[in-house]
Amino acid sequence: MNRGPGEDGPVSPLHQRFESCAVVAALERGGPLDLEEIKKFARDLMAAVTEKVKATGALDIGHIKAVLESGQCFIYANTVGEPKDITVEMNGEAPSGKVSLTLNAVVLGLEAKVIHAAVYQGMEMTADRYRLEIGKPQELK
Amino acid sequence: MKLVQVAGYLGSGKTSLILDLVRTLSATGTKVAILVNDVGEVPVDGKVLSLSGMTVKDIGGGCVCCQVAGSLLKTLEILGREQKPDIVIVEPTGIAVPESIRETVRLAARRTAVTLGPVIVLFDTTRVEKLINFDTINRLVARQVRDADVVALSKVDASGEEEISRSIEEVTRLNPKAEIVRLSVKSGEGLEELMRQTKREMAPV
Repeated sequence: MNRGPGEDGPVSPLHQRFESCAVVAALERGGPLDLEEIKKFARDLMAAVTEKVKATGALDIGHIKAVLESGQCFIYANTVGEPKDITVEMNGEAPSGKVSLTLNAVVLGLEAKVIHAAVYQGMEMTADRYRLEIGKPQELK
Repeated sequence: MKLVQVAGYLGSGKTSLILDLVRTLSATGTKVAILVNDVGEVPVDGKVLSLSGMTVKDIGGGCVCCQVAGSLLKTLEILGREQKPDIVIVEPTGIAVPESIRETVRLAARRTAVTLGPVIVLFDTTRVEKLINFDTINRLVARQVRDADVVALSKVDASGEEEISRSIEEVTRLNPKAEIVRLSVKSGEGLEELMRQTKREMAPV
């Protein structure tokens, strides 16, 4: 199908084999979270998701990005697939006991549902380590 | 309003650069709007930019260079009518083709007062070998570099001189006309030059 400029159209052939996955979930535990702990959680989450996605056979990780919001605290974590690439930035004050997580991964060479399963495994593994319970996640794509 | 694209492959540092550019532009009294297009339905980059107090419009549901080009056109018309910014900075997805976006802007210019600023494409020097040698990625990155007016060699603080030289060689081969700027958002290298580039007017739409 041809399309003119400014018209919605089919996916560009240059985008083939890139798939994305986005997850929104609430993470919670009884007591409050410490600021350093939540930063460490964000870093470990990036590493775990990367590991799971790679183990599933990804040809390349375009990016994995996550935003964690907790009370007045806002954390942005990002990686392009190597442990040394993980960055974690933070704004705001002490977190509460509940974290809202928004994660977006763009991966080359895997189907979206496979990426989602790997992302969820990495998320579950990291949440367990920090004794956080995952509320019902919402998969958006 | 003038439209500046900050494009480049996934993870090349687009959001970080935009944060710095917009802070500096706003401090000089320039009215800036940001259009962010994430691949997924969840606008992570938009959230990050919004929390910095910037005016951000998210376009989701696909890539603005193809699937949701119509949304870009409509959003530009609304911005031109309602907010009238001096500069619109577009952060497309990391897999977007800049020239396709430029075509949409040309179309928008028939109905809205919009002009073309430069297309700045980020080239991640820390991943130069992957960008050059991995076939699927290379085809996309080569296209992005060919469409650039300015190529910002990003993350030079984290790269060796060999990686930087290799990046320059490849970028020059692909697009000998592009201006090349060494960029480190961490150290501030190249930011002043990119600010100057952002203010450039390109050929009339």
